[in-house]
Amino acid sequence: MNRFFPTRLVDGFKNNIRKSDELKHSVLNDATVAPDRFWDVLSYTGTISVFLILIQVVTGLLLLFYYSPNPLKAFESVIAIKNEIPNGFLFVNLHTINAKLIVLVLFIHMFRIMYVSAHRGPRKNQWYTGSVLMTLMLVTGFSGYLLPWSQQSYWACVIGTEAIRTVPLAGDLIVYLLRGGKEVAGPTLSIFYMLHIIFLPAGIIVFMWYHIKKVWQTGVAAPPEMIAGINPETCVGCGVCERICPFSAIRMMSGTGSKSMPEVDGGLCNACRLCLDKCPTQSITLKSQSGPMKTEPIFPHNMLHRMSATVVTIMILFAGVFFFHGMLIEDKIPADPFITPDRIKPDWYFMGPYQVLKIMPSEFTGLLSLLAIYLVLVFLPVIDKKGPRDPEKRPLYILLVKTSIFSFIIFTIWGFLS
Amino acid sequence: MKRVVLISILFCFADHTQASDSLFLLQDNCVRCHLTCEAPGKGISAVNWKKSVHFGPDTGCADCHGGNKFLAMDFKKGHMGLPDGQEINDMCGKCHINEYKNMKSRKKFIHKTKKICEATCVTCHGYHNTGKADLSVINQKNCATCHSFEKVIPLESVVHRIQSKIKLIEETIAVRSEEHFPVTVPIRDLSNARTNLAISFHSLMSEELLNYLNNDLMASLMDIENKMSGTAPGKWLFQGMMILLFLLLCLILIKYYQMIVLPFSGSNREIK
Repeated sequence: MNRFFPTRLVDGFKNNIRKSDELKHSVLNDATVAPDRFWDVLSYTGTISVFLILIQVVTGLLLLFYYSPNPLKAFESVIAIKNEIPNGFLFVNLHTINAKLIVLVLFIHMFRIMYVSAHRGPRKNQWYTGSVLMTLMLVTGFSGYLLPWSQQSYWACVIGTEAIRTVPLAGDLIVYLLRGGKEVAGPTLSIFYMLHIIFLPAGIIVFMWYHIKKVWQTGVAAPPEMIAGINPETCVGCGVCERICPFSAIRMMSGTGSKSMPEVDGGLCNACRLCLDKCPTQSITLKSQSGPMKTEPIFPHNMLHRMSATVVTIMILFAGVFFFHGMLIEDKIPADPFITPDRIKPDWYFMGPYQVLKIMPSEFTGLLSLLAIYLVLVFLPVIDKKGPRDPEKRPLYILLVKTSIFSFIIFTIWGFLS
Repeated sequence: MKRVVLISILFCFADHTQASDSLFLLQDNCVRCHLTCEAPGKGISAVNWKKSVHFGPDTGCADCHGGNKFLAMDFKKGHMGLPDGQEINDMCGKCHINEYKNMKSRKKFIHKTKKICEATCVTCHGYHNTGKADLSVINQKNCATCHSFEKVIPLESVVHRIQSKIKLIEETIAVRSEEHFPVTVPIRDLSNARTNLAISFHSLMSEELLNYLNNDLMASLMDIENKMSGTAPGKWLFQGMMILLFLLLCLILIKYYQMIVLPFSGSNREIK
């Protein structure tokens, strides 16, 4: 056993490195559609979020040197970092505002994937890992929100954890374990601190690695109007593409002579590239149904577009840090468990769910509806498996996606105003 | 009894100060005479006492003057007279322990030569309307009895400069606070400087005091000012503009590379 386990582990690791090398080669030499519409920039949100997470890790590590996870010192230590450490004010603001921005970018990323139905077929694993990542990011945000131990963060944590109490049977136990006691106090801060700096980031790293690895494998999702196109001159009619297609979009039809030729059903093809990878004669390429589309290599052309979008996002981040920090950060009063503030506000991304909880007849029904929305989102690849990707051909699905985006925005604004 | 009921009703409907007034009137029989029968030319002690920082429902005349506030009309039992200098200092020192200790450490406090030169807590802080001492404490009447007033003028001048500087820092802190910049450290440092100012007045002799105020304390106030100018909103905004300009430059370079240097040869390849 002792001999077997490490060997298997090392072999697996080597195998992964080999696979990654192959994939790097294939993806970087790949081509993609050149952006010609403004909203094409939304397809870069994945890359942008990776850079923002890197900024978060770097600033978080710097803050880690001076932050004290003790209820008596936490608020003071944050203030001391802001006041006494060179550029401490910059790093605290950067970490806090970037946390808000990352979630915004991830929401756009998620809604864009939903809109172009890039969660189907071989990309469903990316959707699942993405869902886990999104959950981990939200929990990391929630745990980090408590750390300054300010009045807002303390009471947001009290309300946030209190809502879990309505879960039948295990509610009290979950709240007790999460808080490390009956009330939000020192143990809660320690638990949230450990979650925020060790367990959740570790989970994020693992799932992010897997998520990006899957992106390398499947390639970037093509625009909805693209489908697989077969070159009849080089195709040998082996039928591999028909067998591999998860959407049953390829049928072998009798062609000229004895050779049977594959035919692609444009209404069913999801441009998942599985057939492109498996075709032994490389006779399949992606083509646009709405006429020729301008394409470009992923490296360096597409990567430079991604870099531009990332730089613009970082500019927005710094503009927030330097010019709107007063509006975006409200942690001026230390936590006081005996004084409930007039208005308790969670971070912006929990504002919508918080408003749902407020308007529902009971917290339990509110939690149930949120859980239902969450489960629908996570298991979207199971609910929406096949069919055309082109938004024009699936008005009902697009209406649902637009409604969910609109509802999220309305509930968030409602939460802020109420 | 009628008075008790009336004052109780007032206590229910009035705010805190009025409640304190009512209890003051209710509990202290001394007030009944000392509101009207004070020596001419002097402030009315009961009225001045109301201005004191120590004024409250649980403190009264008898706490300092002794005697029995309920038997105030009994001349012997109710009137214990004025506490002397040592008694005043001992009384204040029960709560203001550090200040008392510092006062005791002064040579002059121990070896007072003339009774008239005896400096007690009330010399600077007032005896009925007790409060924080300010610049008005340094005056001909207080100081020139024992010192030549020329000797006091530099002290008055430096205290005036210190107070102006403190006011300026307070105003800056208020502005910063409104603009959401962190001000905890300047507030803490300023509070320390204020404490040091008070301690120095309690513990140092005139020349030492002048040196301390002119050099050490002024330097610490300048330090607070310098630290605050290091994080001035203007500087902060300038830093922000510089970073944004740098990022803009990066963006222009990327776009330049994309449009000019990078040829379009790679475009329109088949997507494989």
